[in-house]
Amino acid sequence: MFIEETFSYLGNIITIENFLAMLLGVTIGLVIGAIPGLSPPMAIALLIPISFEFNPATALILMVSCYAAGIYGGSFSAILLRTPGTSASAASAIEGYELTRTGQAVMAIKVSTFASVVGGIISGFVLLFLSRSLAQVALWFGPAEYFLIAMLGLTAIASVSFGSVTKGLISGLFGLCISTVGVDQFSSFPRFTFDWIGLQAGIGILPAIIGLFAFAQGLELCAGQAHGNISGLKTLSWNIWPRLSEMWQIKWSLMRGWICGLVVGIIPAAGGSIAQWIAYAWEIRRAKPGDNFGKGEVKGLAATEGSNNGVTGTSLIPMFVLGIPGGISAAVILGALSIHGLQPGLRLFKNNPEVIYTIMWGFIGANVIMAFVAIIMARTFAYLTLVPRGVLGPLIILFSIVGVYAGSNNVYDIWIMIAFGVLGYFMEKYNFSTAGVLLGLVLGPIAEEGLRNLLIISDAAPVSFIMGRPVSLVIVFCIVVILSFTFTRKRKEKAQTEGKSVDD
Amino acid sequence: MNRFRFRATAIALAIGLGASLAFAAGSASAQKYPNKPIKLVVPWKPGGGTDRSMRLFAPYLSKILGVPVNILNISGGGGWVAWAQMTKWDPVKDDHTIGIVNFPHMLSYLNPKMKNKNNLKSFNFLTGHSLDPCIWGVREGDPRFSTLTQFIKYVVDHPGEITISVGGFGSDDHQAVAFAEKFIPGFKVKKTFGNNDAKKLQELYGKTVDAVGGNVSYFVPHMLEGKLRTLAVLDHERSTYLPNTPTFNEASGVKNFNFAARIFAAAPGLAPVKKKLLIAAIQKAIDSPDYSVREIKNHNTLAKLDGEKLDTFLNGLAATVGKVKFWDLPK
Repeated sequence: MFIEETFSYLGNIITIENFLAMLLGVTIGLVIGAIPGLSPPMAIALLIPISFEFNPATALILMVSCYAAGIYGGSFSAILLRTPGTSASAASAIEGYELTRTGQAVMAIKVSTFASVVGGIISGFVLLFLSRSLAQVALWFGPAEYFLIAMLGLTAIASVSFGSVTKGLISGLFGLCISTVGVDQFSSFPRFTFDWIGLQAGIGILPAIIGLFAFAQGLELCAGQAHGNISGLKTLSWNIWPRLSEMWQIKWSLMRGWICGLVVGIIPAAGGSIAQWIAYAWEIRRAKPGDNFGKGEVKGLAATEGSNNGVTGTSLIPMFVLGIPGGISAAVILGALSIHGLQPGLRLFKNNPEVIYTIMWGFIGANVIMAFVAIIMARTFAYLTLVPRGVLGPLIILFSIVGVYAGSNNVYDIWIMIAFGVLGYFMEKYNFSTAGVLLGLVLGPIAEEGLRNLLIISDAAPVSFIMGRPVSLVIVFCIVVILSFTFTRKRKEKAQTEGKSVDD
Repeated sequence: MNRFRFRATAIALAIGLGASLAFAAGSASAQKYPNKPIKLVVPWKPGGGTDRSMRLFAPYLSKILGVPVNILNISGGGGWVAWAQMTKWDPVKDDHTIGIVNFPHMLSYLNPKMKNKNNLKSFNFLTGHSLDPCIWGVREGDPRFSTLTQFIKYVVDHPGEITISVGGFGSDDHQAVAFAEKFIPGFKVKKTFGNNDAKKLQELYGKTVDAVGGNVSYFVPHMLEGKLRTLAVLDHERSTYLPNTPTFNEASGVKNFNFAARIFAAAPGLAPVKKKLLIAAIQKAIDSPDYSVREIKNHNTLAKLDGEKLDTFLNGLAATVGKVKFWDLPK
């Protein structure tokens, strides 16, 4: 009955306006997402006035299409230039760019498009059919769970810092430390700001990510030889359509990515920037001999790309059903809904089912359209990998500066970005993990806020409080399993290498 | 290679052409004011209440001024990154820039720890835009309390049990709770901080906290959903959106007024003619029937306050905040 009713709204998306809204949303999302600094929420906000006179369903289809595509667009630049366009695509910069560097850019595009599009579609169907039952899951997460999720995320540092774990931990700790800069939400005391207004807001993830990845990459390219290009190729292949046989080989990696995305997406305020790292770390832990993690492993890319788009549909669930937007993009979409006189919640499902289900079908449709637009756009974008390094390096530096300013309109963020860029350049040089810094910076505030609120509500007795919360216990269990697994593996590796050296 | 370069040049040209056309369309003759697009600074990231409201407002203001009105989000420092710039806008160079100042948030300069040398006089305020009263809410169907009187009694009878989610330290919602703790004997609650409106409700519905402090516009839809029970509106009168919810004063006898207000500001020292023109245009735009209907649908309370009335209002507010000194209160 419910399924029949839901399907009856599928026809609504097949109108010229809705199709054009999907196409426009997807195109704008892909372009803005690909430019470091310009983020999906900003693209969606810019579309609000355009959609003023549209009917509500078409207007919202435009927004959700832009959101889905914006997350994917960020991966183009991450994979092809190591300059992630959004924070949700930072993890893809690692394996993706290594693939580009070894001349496999087109393969990387194929994998990422397949993982993203199918992830988005699955996420869309979960949104369509399960949103009302899954919305309650969002309410299981209180301060204790957020603190523990952040801890779970931090365990990823050990996996994603290739080489020395100690150096990875140092990077992670550094990230955690600088995440405390800025006005403290619990006392409104300006911490470590040295009376400089630029630091009052804290260190933004946007300037940090652009600095650590994009600007550092620009410096790296400028420092090396000016001739030659990053891909080492003269021409790019036109073999751009993913073949099922190729994707079948990485099916489990894709699955793990999608599952991570779907689950983390439902948790408000967690989102793509956490899901990708959990998926990536999970993938690395499942590594088999012969896998090339950190040096261009397709499986790693499949997991990160699957997860960040797997998030998109489910992250809209708490917003549509409970009126609780899980992130900035969802909040902007909620704003757009209310501008059209609609308030999210169960009343919307009851009173305007045609609107809400048309939007959801539009989201799925947008993901299908995205497959075609994205792959052609990515292929075109890939020409950049043929540009001589001496041209590309300065271009990336220029774009990083313009992008940060365009994204935040805040001059201080440019300085913060440059500082991170120089830091990132030297960290790469001495094999410190920039991903570790980023994880610390992203997870630090979640962990801090969670812990401090946990201490308040539990009257400073967090352990007994956690014992009484099943979801917390599940997360604790995951952390323990991961840590023990990581340490036993590291010990094995160590024993192996020591054994080898004895043999020699 | 060459093909690529040609294509890139063509794209760049196309973008440039498009942009210049857009500008040409936007500008009128040089003598008129305004004669180029107006920048409207929102001191927060996209997605917040002020951002939503201003994006809705901009087209109406644009129609009256006859030039485009573009939203510029400058976030950071609890609003102060944008506000510090507003105090330094040049009356000639920045005469096409206006911005929103939020109250009581802006009064964080009163906190000596912030070492902020600005004050109310650093700004050139134009007119009020909206005033969203604070509100307290609990879960619908909570067996322990369904009115403010029951809630206060419960808190006093069960010390250390009740938690209220209030957003940031020093926010309007936190100040309202701090005020209640100062003036209602025996009223002492635990507070969770750092949450936006969405997360407050997530904590309330998930039973992590027992009550929330927020604003009318955000909470009314949740009340209509039948999930949130509104205890009291922290205003002088009842809200038109919540005729059955008493004011804090009615229910408890304590005068606890708090709200989130949005006030427009322009460059300090802006020519009086221009200032007058801007005020008139903004107020006319607020009055456009279509706009006000859309804001009413969003349960926002529009409030055009200007001239001496605005000064008195802001000075009174600063005096109250200076008296409560929320930054000195024990958590």
